[in-house]
This record gives sequence, C-alpha cells and structure tokens, in this order.
Amino acid sequence: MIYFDSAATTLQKPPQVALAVQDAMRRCASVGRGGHKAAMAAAETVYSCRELAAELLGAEAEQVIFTMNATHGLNIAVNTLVPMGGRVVVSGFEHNAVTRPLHARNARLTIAGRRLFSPEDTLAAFEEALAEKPDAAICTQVSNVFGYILPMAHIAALCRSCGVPLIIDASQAAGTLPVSLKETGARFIAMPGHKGLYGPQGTGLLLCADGAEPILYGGTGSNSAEQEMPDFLPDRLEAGTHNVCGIAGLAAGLRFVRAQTQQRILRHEQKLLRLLAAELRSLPRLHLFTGKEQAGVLSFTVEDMDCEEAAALLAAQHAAVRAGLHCAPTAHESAGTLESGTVRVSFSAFNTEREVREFARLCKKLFGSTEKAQFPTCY
Amino acid sequence: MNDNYFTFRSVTAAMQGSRILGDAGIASITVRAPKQLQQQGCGYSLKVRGDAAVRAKLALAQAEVRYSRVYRRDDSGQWQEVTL
Repeated sequence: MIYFDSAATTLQKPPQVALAVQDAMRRCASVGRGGHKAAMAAAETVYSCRELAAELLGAEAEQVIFTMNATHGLNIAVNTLVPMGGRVVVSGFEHNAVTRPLHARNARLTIAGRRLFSPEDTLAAFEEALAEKPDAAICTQVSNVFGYILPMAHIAALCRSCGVPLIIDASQAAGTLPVSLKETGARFIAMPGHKGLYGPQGTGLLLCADGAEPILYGGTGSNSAEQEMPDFLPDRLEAGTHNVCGIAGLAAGLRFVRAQTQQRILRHEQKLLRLLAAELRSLPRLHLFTGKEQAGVLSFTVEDMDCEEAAALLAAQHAAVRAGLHCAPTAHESAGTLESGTVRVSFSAFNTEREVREFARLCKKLFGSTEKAQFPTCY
Repeated sequence: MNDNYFTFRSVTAAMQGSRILGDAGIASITVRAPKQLQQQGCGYSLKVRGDAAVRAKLALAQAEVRYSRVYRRDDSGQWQEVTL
C-alpha cells in the first residue's frame, strides 16, 4: 500500500515505537500512584517523555501536559481563555477541533486571512483583528487541508504586542517545523502525538505557559487530601491514570524526530510534494492547490468527479489518501472548496520518491482520461 | 549521618529534582514521602545522604526546582524538619 494519509495519522512508525509500547506494557504501572518498582518505572518513562518534548518544543518539563490528542488540548485551552460569548480571532484555515469548542462557547469569531498561501494577507488580517483586543487568538501553524504554512512567528509577535493570548494548533507542524512555547510566547500550544511525532494514536501534548482550567477532574496522586484540583502543572490538567504505554511510544517517536531533525523531515516531505505536483500538473482534469509556503500536504480536485469517488478509486489501487472536508470546513470555505471538498495527499518521513512516481502513474491512469473511470463496487 | 528527605508536591517535581541532583553528581532515590511528611496527602520525596544534603539544596536552588521541606529521621525514629 502507498500510504499518503499522514496528516490524519502516520501509519508507518519507527519500529522502536511499538517496542517501547510493549516494553511499557510489561514493566510499567501507574505514575504517581505508588513507590514500588513498577510505579517508579512508569514515572520514569513518563517524565523522560516530558523532558524530550520540552527540549524539542521549547518548554519546561512541567509545562508539558499529556492529552488524548490535539483536540483534547485545544478544548482545555479554549475553556481556559474564552468566556461564554467571548471574542476570538482565528485564521481562515482552522480545524473543527478549534471551531467547535468555540461554537460551544457561543464565541464571536473574527476570521483573519482567507487567502491561501498568502502570509501577507494572513498577517494584515491578524493585525487588524487584534487591534480590537479579543479575548484570545487561535491559529493553526499549518493548514491540515492545504499544507499552507502560516507566518506563526509574526502572528505570535503581533499577539504579544497587542497583549492578546495566543493558542497555537501545531497539529500539522509538530515534527517538521519549529514549535516553541518560549519563542512564540504563546499561552497554549496543542498537538497530537500520532502524526509528525510518530507516537501511537491516543497520545497528544498540550504546552501550557501558565495556569489553566481543567476539563477533567479526579485523582492526580498529589494533594490527595484536598477536593480542589492541584493548582500546579502538570497535575492540574492530568487527572486519572496516564496512557503510559502510549507515552512510552511517543517518547520513542520524539527520539526519532530528534535524530532525524525536523528540518530534514520537512525538506524530505517538501521534495516529495514538489515531485508529485510536477508529475500531476500535466493532467488537465486535476486542479492542484500549491504555493510557496507549503508543508508536505497537497490537496487537489478532479474535474467532474466527486472527491470521495476519486479517493475510492485510489484506495482500490492500494493508495491511501483522504477526501472530503478533512474536518476543516473553514479552510475549505477560504479556498472555495466547501462544496466539492478535495483529495488530500500527505507525506511522512517514511514515504519515498518511488511511491510518489507510482502514485502519479495511478493518477494518470485514473484521472488522465476525459472519460470517467468506473467507480469500484467493492473494496 | 542520617538520610534527608526533600519533599515535593508531585512526582513530576520529584523527578525533575532527581535529574538535577544526578547532573550535579549527587545520588538520590525517588520514594513516596512518608505519610507523616505529606502535608496535603500523597507526595514524593528525594532521599539524599546526610552528608550531601547541603549540596543537594544548593543544586536544587540553582536550578530553581522547588521542594516543599527537608526532613531527617532521628535515632528515635521521629521525623524532624531540618534547615540546611
């Protein structure tokens, strides 16, 4: 199978990730729930992952919060900073993980910057919107649909100068682009563990600069005589037993990223992206969404063909991509693809040029002709 | 000289302290804080040899790692808070 759906989840992981999960399952009990060998092995495993994440992501170890996924972290961040009916600035490329929690809080949104692959437009729109002093600004670092790399350092600087707390959704950036709590001065940065950090599904990280409101209450193994949640991190946001096995796998993924370096992984993915774009550009039925500021994500539409049908044809040829709205209707609205959706190709460190050429060959076979390919009836 | 127990509010803080002491060449063991030393219920402590306690205090202070208190068990088995 050609797996080009890493923006959803990286399927190919470094082998040491699965080994770390198995090892933790055998050796580790619960963090902070005892002083015996198995409990301390869990504490050591989890703290090591905190240290690795802190080093890679410009934070202190206690500012690294383990979550289930990026959505979980974003919910904590929104719940902390956005009052009911509050005013929030978001980019034109946000995921439902941002917009749905805001909708639930009946927040009034200003959407800043709709123009795809235009950092100038994004910045100008943020500058204007931030002048209104909203309760918070929330911005994705990379569009999960189009791979557009938003000018995060500049957006963060604008937020700092306006005194507006910033929440960064680093779901598509972590593992390929610089992500730093210290350098951006962001209040929160959320990311999944299972994408560019190559950890198992069900893991995520929230970097928390300062205090936060929990959305989950319960045992933390600290201050147990009190009914209030601890007022210190990470305990305040980590009620209940940790996903120790997942965190052990995430630590292995983080070590892989550190060894490969984020810059090298990004360059590799961008090289594959340019190669695929060059191969597909000759197909008149395909409309590619490409730009200068683009990470390893490429969306396209096929003339006269439903995007789901196109993805199903590719799946029948053992090529895995994702079609539809990618849980990001705001981004599709910005790009004018809300009605059609897109087919999305997304790479990881494990993809190869050979796979790209084979995928391009499939696309030429399936979408090269003006005649419609037959829709598969079974898979 | 009897061992000293540096108490911490959480296992994360204790692990952090343990790393700092390790980097400073000071041996420590992360253990559950004895019940009598837990001010708000549940906690962890770093057990440090008595003759390394002052160095441990300085290393933690230099790294800005906050511990709660330091205790020592006297020969009669009673815990005494100590000022280093």
